[in-house]
Amino acid sequence: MADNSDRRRIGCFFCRCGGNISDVIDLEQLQSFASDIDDLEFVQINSFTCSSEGQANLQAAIKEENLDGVMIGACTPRQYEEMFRDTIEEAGLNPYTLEIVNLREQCSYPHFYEPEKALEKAKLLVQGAAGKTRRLIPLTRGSVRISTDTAVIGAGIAGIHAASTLSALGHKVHLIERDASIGGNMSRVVKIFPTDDCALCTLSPRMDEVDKNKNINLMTWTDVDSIHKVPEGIAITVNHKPRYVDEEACTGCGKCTDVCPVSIYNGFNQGLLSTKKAAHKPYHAAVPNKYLLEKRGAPPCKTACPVAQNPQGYAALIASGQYREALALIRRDNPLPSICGRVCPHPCEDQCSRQFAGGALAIASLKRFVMEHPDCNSDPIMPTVDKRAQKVAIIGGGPAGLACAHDLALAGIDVTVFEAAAKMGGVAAISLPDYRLPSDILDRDIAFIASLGVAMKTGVRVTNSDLKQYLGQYDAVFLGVGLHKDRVLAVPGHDLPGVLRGGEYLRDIKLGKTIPAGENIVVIGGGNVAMDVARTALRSGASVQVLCLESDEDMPAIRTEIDEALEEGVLLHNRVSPKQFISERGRLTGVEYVKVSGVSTDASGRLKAETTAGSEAIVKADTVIFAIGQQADVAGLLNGLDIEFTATGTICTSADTLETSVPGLYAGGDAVSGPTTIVEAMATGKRAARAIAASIDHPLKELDPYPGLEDVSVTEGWTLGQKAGARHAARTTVKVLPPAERKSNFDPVEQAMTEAEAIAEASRCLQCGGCSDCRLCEPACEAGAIHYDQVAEKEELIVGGVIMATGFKEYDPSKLYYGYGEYDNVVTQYQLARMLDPMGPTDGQVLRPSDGATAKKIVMVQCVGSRGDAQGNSDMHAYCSRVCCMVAIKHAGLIKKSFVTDAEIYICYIDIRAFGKGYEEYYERTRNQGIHFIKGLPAQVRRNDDTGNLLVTVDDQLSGSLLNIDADLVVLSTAMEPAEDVDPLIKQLGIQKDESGFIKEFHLKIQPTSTAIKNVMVAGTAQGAKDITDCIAQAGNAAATLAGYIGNGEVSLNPQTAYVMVDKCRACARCEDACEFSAVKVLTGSLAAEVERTLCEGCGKCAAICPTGAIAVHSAEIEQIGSMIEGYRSTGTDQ
Amino acid sequence: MSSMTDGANITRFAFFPGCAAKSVAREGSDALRAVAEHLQIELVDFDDFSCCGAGVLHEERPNLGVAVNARNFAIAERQGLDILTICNTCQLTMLKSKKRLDDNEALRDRVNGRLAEFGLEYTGKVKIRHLLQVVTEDLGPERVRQKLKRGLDGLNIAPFYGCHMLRPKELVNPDGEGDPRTLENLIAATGATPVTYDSKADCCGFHVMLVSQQTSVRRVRNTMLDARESGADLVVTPCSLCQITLDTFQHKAERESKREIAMPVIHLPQLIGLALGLDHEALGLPRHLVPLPEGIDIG
Repeated sequence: MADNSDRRRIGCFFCRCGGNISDVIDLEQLQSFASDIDDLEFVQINSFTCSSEGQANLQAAIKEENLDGVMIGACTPRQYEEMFRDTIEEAGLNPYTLEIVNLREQCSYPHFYEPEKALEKAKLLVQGAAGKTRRLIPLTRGSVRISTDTAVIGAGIAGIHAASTLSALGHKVHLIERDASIGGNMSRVVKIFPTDDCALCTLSPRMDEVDKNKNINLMTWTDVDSIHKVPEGIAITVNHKPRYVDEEACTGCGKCTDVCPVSIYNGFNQGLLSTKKAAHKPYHAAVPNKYLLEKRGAPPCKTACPVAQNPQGYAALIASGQYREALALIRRDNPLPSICGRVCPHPCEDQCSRQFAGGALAIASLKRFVMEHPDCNSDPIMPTVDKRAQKVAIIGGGPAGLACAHDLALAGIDVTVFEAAAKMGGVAAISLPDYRLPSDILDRDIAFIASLGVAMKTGVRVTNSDLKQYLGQYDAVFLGVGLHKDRVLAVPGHDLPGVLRGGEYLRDIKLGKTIPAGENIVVIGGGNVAMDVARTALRSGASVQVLCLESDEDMPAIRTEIDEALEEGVLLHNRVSPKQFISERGRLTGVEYVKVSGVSTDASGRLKAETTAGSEAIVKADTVIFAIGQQADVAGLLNGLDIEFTATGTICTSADTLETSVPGLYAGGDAVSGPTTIVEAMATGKRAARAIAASIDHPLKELDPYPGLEDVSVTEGWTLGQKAGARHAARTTVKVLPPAERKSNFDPVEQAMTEAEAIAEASRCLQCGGCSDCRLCEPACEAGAIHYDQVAEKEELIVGGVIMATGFKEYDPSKLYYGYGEYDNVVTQYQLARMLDPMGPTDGQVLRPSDGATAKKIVMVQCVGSRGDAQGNSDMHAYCSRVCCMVAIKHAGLIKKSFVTDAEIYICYIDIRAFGKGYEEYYERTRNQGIHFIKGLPAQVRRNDDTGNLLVTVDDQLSGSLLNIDADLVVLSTAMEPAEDVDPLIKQLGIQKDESGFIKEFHLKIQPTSTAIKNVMVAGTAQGAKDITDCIAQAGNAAATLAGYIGNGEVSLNPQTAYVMVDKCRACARCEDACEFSAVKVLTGSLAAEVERTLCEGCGKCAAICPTGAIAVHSAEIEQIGSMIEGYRSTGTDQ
Repeated sequence: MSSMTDGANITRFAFFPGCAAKSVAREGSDALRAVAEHLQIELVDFDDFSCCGAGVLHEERPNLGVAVNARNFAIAERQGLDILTICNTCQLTMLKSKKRLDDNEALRDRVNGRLAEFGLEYTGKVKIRHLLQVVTEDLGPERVRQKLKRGLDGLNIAPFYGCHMLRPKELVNPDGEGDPRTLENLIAATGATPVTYDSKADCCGFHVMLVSQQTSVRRVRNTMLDARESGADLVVTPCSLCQITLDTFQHKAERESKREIAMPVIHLPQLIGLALGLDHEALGLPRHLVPLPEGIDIG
């Protein structure tokens, strides 16, 4: 070497590794090769360089040979690099003048059968490393203060034990659990092997300990939103999900569960058909002993309803026989529920989640049932009202006006309703035929509104001057005057006697007037009024034909109204338009009509027909009734007021508040929106009431029952239904009077449900929103802990280190050929465990889910989802799940011993692995109980449809015979796989997953709980399948290792990090984008990249991507890497 | 002075490179130093010049923003020099400050009161000049042409002015036309063909980067694709910040548009240097992230 200035005296030490290296690589040859390398001063071979003796040899050589650089050819640097750094530092060298050559994992292991190649490769690596070692630059370890607090993510048995241990070692612990209780999978397994102890008896004291431990901050029902490294350690943003129960106040008494009418799928039982209340705690021994309301969001029926009624809630109350409560719930949102029970077009039913499983719930009929139930009329639950001083006048006592009056009255506001007709109710009172809505039904709703203190003045036609006076007298005035002027078509003959108007006609009939009705009546129109007119006319004994512009499917009338009219004998002509009315001697004799080829809408929104010439035809008629719509008649009333109107003559208002251009004057109902339904008119009245109350400084008390939650979609609801084992149950058909019995009278057509029908129908509700917002639990809770408007809250934690104890989930065997998901009597071991729980869904009986009969002949199948390579199945995991053999042995033994003593149990296996302390003895005991062990897995499982039995075909490899077992129950021993939704955390932390998806440990053997990030540990089944014993051992190790690392908060910094050469940096930020640890930032202030050393892991991505070479990594400098490559090339013989 | 100069009047300037041309875009000032003598200018450096405030300081503390500039002006005035800058934003910020000082006697007195503590005074004599003005107004394209060692014939070069060169018009470009041509004239003087394209007077995106990186990157994308599609071989800009933005963030624009852009963006003094036949190293061209295309025989 000509240049001696950078000459380093390097010693090179090869390790035999007890033969692991030297049996393959001829180390003497390698030594002689190394001795010829100029860079190396000294070459030595040791048997175990890692041993005390090996290290002492190394230190002695450093001193004797006056070395200032060390190269070690041994095992992977992952194993002992850090230790060797300390070794040479003790001998007085800089710890970063060390280079490891991986002779084992890179040479002797992979080239075991080709020692020549192993040697060649070793020479190459040695030559490369020598050049690099010469160029190594001494580095100084820094230190940094991090938080001494810790976090454990996941509170199963591993997380619980890790948290306890960390706390015992003096660290504050945030224990974060996404479920509502801690305990994890262990809380479901009932008994544990090899002692058959009760799992909860073992677990509960541990759970209780972390709950009470002042040093442990237990957070349940809490998700980790984000987690990333920061200079102080690790920042975690947690999201506390709302329980809708104040955790502090809740005493765990369970009264909310007692009154909750909602039963939903119970996930705790692993998919076994079982339910829980929406107000519940996860299981009887849950910790913390706190309840929660499970809300999924607003159900689609509520979202679809114009007045946002809560059918899910009253279905739940009806199903549980609480009719008065159901009525109060209905009245909470609906001012005229009796009407809606009879005549609402029920858009709720169109969105019902049940529609794909037997048809939508009969929501309107259920409401009618409640409204007309005797309990509800004799003794309704009355709301409490605080009276206020403000006064509001309402003009028009129809659905919009009454709804507005109802909501304002509930807020305590003094309301007076002025109605021109003799009766309150608007169209509902004066137009709807009795066969649809009998007057006494309507009267109940009106009486209820009156009972809230609403003054009702009927027979008062408010004049223009009255209105102007009211605007001064009252705090606000609401106009809900409706549409009362019938439209007519100006065809020739429209002014003949015998041409009537539909609205007038229905009013007159309702008032009992006798109308000169003919024998042949023609009704013109296709809406609900046309159907009412036609069916009313039919009841006068006439023959009735309807001429309708729209096609059958486009008719605006409610479908059942059309169908019932047709059943009663009304003749319907679709897509026709009257051309003229024919008369003889001034008397109407017929209608000439013409076919319609197309319909368009004119500028004012009215329908306009294009007719087909030559298609004219005539029907006989002595009476024609127009039912083609109605328009507002308000010109006189609003004269002189500065009100704007639309092109169709309706009143213009703000869409939001329904206030007109005259301050204090509000309007709603059909006079604003044009012809709509009663429920839509009510919705406008309610909306105006809200705006009026707000405007007079008394906002309505409104509670958002689904704060921050999405609507539940129909499909999601159905998925839930499927999961809950929702059986196909057909909608209850409401009885309807036969046409012959109804067409000559005004008796109600549709009949009310019987109580049995109503309960059965209400029970069909899937309760897809979870908590139904019935609010029965609020008064039931003596602690006042219920808060329906709770929202999720985020919190940021800074900790020095984290233990990932995120656990496992069960493999889904439905993709295999064992009939899981297809046959009810194929279950998993976890489901069987739930059956063995005396407080579980079967009260501790082993039953066939198909018929509830005791299962006597049971076949257990091992390795379901595990050991896929052994089974040649790529749908399974390659690994062994380790616990399943013992779980099957435990369950078989328990059933035989205590549950079904005469059971016949078969365990089909590949190998039985009873690996732990006491496990082999446990296995032996169980064998002696008479359990049949069959070496071989079933080829198939088929169901005998008559008996429900399962025919299991299995080849017994030990006897060589093919067995056909006629089993009651098949139990699958499913694999463990990583828990769901952990990947984002793994990615954010920058740790790795192994090929199976579990969190990868730093070193499988010697650092099984560490990860690539020094202050992130892994414990329990998050790292791989294992049993409880191993989980606890590992959790303790993780806690101790983490506590050891954090110490008093002063931790050493790896100096092998990236650094920036500012003069070369162009601030392009490629490094910032490349860094997974957010360690590099391009600060716009200095217009150059900066590395946060505490975050940098030294991975070198930034250096690789930098286009100007402005960023480099200590100990992986370009010159150092370059000299390595140069070394590889110079040996370049046959490589 | 080298023999390249015609011995005539050398103008001395107080050189105000601006923060960018002192750090991340230092090749801009390196290139200016390399060509200065050919342009008959001498650059006088002042280590005690402070940052102009880049408009940011003025938003937060307007009077302090004026004062720091007044201090720089006073330092230049003390030597009897006008200020020369190669950053559009520095130029605008200094002009704004100067206008406030010149228009507002009370403010000027207050500022001078503080400057007096350091033995400084702002009189208003100093002129703020941008390199583009000096080259096109003092020297003139024709004189530049005469000095060329070699032409850039055959190259299509797109001018990119940078908005602070043009807007607000009454401050930075009072006599200018709606359609500026100075850069085009200069490009033509080098023998290259100026490219006509829509984006030449657009915003580069620098000043919106902190607020919305996406908007900034889209500005780069639009401008660079426009230049590309209009047949430009390279883009020249008189502003350090524009050069940084268009060159440094071009890779982000490529990712955003999923198209290769590969449009080199050079500083004005680098254009002059290339035409003078100076080598790439001396002009700092290797520092750019988008290299000049191979096969184009320049420099």
